[in-house]
This record gives sequence, structure tokens and C-alpha cells, in this order.
Amino acid sequence: MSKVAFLAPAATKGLRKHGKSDISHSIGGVAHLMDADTYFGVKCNDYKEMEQYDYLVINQSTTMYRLTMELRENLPSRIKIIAFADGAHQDLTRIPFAPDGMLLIKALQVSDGFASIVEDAVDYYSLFANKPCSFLGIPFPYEEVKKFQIPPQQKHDKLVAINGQLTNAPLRNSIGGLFLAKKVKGVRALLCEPERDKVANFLLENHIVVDIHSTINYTEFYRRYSKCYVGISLDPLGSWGRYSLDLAGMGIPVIGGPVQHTQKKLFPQLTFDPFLEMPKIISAYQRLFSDLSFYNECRNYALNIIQREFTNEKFVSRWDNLRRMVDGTDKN
Amino acid sequence: MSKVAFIAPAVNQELYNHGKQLFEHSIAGTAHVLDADFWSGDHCSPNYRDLEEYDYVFINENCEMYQLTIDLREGLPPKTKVIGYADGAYQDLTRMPFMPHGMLLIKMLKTVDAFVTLVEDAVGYYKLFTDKPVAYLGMPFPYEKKVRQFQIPLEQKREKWIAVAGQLTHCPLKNCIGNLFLTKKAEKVKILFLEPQPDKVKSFLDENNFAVAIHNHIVQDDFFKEYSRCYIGINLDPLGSLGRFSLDLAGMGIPVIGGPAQQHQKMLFPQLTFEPFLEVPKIVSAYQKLFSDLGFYNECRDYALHIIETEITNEKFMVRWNNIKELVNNV
Repeated sequence: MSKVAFLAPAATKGLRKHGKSDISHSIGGVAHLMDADTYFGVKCNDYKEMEQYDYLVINQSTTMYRLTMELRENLPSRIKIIAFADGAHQDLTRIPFAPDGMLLIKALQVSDGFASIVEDAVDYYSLFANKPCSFLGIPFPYEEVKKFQIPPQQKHDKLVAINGQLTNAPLRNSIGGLFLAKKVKGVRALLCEPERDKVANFLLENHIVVDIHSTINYTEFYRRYSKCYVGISLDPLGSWGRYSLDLAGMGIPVIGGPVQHTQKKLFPQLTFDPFLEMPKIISAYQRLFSDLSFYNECRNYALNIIQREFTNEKFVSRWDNLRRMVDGTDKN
Repeated sequence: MSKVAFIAPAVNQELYNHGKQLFEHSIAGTAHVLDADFWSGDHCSPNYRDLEEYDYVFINENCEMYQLTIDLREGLPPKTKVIGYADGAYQDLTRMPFMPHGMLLIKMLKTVDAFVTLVEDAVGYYKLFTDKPVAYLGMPFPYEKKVRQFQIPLEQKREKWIAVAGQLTHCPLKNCIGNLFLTKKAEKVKILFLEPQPDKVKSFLDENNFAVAIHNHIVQDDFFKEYSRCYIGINLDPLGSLGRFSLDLAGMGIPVIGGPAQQHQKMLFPQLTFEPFLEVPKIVSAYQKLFSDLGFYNECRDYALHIIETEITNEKFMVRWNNIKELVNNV
């Protein structure tokens, strides 16, 4: 049985061991299914401690690129360093090239393997390094999320979940989601916005009826959002697409963009370029309210894919494949 | 004959009338074809008198111009139509701070008499935020007058120079890094690109074995002279805008691989247009085919030149402008 350490960024500098993680819909879930010890920090002060592991999986962010290189340099080659993509696949174009972009490319080149959370982005990362790169994804605790499913016929209020925040994360295009919501009469939007006072007037002036909440924990998220009839996640950042998956798991169809892995897999009929296909987006959004069989078709397709493709078994199988690629024992 | 003022941003300057413009491949070219007086500035004296003589006030929008646009619409008589002209990328609303810029942009869209875009497919997105007319206008292109003369026959291009769009240090958003690493998928190519801080990237480029010729900012004529020698261009820019790099190279008879968010890339090179991050296998294949299949190369090149000659003309630009005027006056 191989030993795995999962390293995640933290404000504390030196790596600190936190032991095993529970299953959850987050990077903690990744560590859980790898049966990994979780470490937090951005600097390694004790390479000896790391020598007990066969694989170090490092959750990448700008604070982790140097750590990735230092670990590869200072640990024996039998210990494999695997970089795990976090953030968006556009990050290389979103961070300052000097020094962060250069460091990211170097981290890709020195790692023994790279794991992506967007399947179609694997080849983009592969442009920069000759090392094995493959799709891994993030586990999804469907059995837990399933408990929050409410049948659509019990949803009398037409509540629309909007991904993103106006003030803190405009990049996620929550503004597009809010204005799209208005294309059906009588709906209420549900939005996370920590600076409610700053946007209240704007929303009022634009006749956007919205329930605003501040940052909430997972359980509260599922409890609140399970009441929604439709979700909108027109997020142009290419990432895992956790929002679409969470809502899909509760049986809620989501309209979103093609760069997010789960959105594209779960809702092919509801996936459009967030800026360039607006007439199709509006048409699909309105159809979800007027055509119950279309609604159920989208909902059931997503639930079927979750149960077939978003399983722990499939995740572990991808993880095994990646390890074989890194070890050089993969025949493909 | 209607009178038009074209206002371009100039930070912290009161509006100033520069008169008529020559035909350039820039916003000044738009002013020229509209026969507009070219103004610059970002604020206006309170009486607005000087602008009252115009039928249309055309404002090149960026975050410094939203408040001016709102002020002009409030201050000018209704007979003078205020038109917002998109600059930058259509993703700007999600790239700038929502407060105050995003809110002001939406207010501007709702206040103007019409809004015109550089990207045809982005019209629907802007329409989400306003009930005012929104339409595609684009930008004129001086093909006959300037760019065509820089076409060099293929047989004279013995060295395989690749034109790479974007800059590494100043503008990573344009995915210059992806363009650069794509070039390595063909052998013995040389790269031409703009980078104002070559010292900062030199060792990185050396370590990664790039054969590059780096230049600093150059004037338009030098750009055409330098880049005309290129065999292929790469412009995998995800920012949704006009796609000037693709158009300039196409006008010189150079095929360009690029992304679908840019108006001209999509129009001119449908066989060479791919999602920059998610369709890399197709991108690599098309890139290699341009080297190995001369028939394909010529097909892409000739198609783009045909579209330039038939679609990207001053006449088509004026038809769109006249339609917009009609839309504005019929509201």
C-alpha cells in the first residue's frame, strides 16, 4: 500500500501535518480518497519527514510553486511529486508572468506528474512540460447531497440560484446571471454577497428581486439552495464547476458555460458560451420554466451522470492510472 | 449630412476638438470613415455648448468615460444622440471592480441612445443590461490603402518566422505564453514578438530553447514591415475584442491560428479558430498542417483575403452605421 501526502496552501509557512481528512466536496475529499496525510503550509523545513511517502500531491497556487520545486530537488527520486491543479486553467494568463508564470511553468516541468480538474485542459498544461498529465477531478459525496433533493412540483416559489459574488468575484459573471434571471417574470434570485449594503441600491434600481446571504457553511448551502428551481453559473473561469455539480446533486438544472468540467458533463443542453450565445441561453432558461419535460430531461440526465461517472470508484481508478503514468508502468 | 463628434479617452483632460482624422487602422479610422470631428478628454465643461452642434456624439468607452457619457446624455438636448462605442473586451464587466466601474458601465448602457460593439456575437450579452438599441459596428480596415502592399509571396519566405501575439510581462491575459509554447510543435521556426521588458524574460526563453526576435513598441508602418515576413501568426487570445492582430496579418496574406472570442479571427479563419485552452490537440494539428500542406495553407490565406475584400469594407461599415442611426432615431 503506497503512502501519500496531500499538501495544501496555508497562511502558516512551515508545513504542518493535520492527519487524515473526511470525505467532502473539496480538496479534503481528494486527500480522503487517496488515504493521504494532509499537510498545510508553503515551506518544508523537514525533508526527512517527507521521505516516508511514496507520493506527494501538491495543491497548486502561486504560493506553492517554489515548494513544489524545492521538494523535487531535495527528495529522492523514488518519491514522486504530483502537482494538482487548483484555480482556473487560465491561471497562467491571469497571474503576473514574472515571477509567478515562470515559476508555474518550472513547477510543471520539474514535477513527476500533473493532475488537472478539467479534462479538456490536460493538453493545454501538456504544452509546457513533457511530464505525464491527466485528468483527476474531485470526489463528490453524492449520497450526502442526495438528501437535499426536493421534487420540482414542491417548489412553488421560482427561486434561481446565481453563482459568484458581485463585489468580491466579478470575474465569475454573477452580473450576467442576475440580469439573465430577469428574463422570466416573477422569479427571485438567491445570491451570496458579503457586501450587501454596497449593492442593495443597484439591485433595487435594476428591479432585481434577490435574496442575499453572506458566506455560509456546506450544510447551510445545501439547505438553502435545495429550494432553488434553476441555477445559473455563467462563469468563464475554467475550473471544476463545483456549483453546477452541487446543484445537480440536489436535482436542480444549471445553465452554465463550457469551460467548467462538471457543467459540460452534466448539462450539455444547458451549456453555452457565457458571452457569445446569449440568445440560446435566454431561450434555454425560459424553456426550463415553460417545459416541464425538458426540465426533467436535463435534471435526470445530470443525476444519471453523477451516479455513473462521479463516483469514488472512477476517481480512484483515475488516481491509479496517474500513479502508473508517473511510475512509468503505464503501457499506454 | 449629419454631424458627428467622436470622443476618445484622455485622462484628466477637458474635451478638446482635434478636427478631422486621416484613415488609420485604429479608432481614428472609425472617426475618419464617419467624417467625425475627433475629440479627446474625459470631462466636459458644464455648458456642453460645443457639442450641441452635433447630431451624434460617439464615445469610445472605457472606465474613464462612463461618467462622461452619462453626463453628456443628461446635459445635451435629446436631438443630439449619444452613442457608446465598445472598446476593450466584452468581458470587461467581469474584469473590472464592480464598484464603481461595473455599476457605472451598466448605468451608461442604460443611459445612452445606443451602444455599438466590436464583436458581433457579443451584442446579445450587452443587450441583457439595457433596453436601448445595441448593434455590431466593428472598425474600418485600410486594406487597399495600406496593408495590401505588404503582402510577400510565399516562395520568398525561406525562414519560417512565426508572429506571436501578446506580451509576456505586460499583458499575460492575451495568452502569449500559450502561443510561444505552441510554436515548438514545429521544427526550426523563429519567433517574432513584442516584449518591452526583454531582460526580464531572456533567461526563461533561453532555458526553454526559444529562437526569438523580440522588439519593443513600434509604429504601424514598422509593424507591417516587420511582420510581413512571417509565415504564420498565432493569436490564441481569450479576450473578446476586434482581433486586430489576426486582421493585420490576414491583410498581409498570413494565416493566423486563434480563438473564437475575437471578431476577425472567427470571420477570417474558420478552419484555424479554436478554444485556446480546451482544444489544444486540434490547434496543434492545424498548426502542423499549415507547414505540411501547402494547399491547406493557401486555402486559409485566400479565404481570409476574400472575406477582407468582400466583408471588411468601408461600404459595409457605412451600411451598419446607417442602420444604427436608423435604430437610434426610431426609438
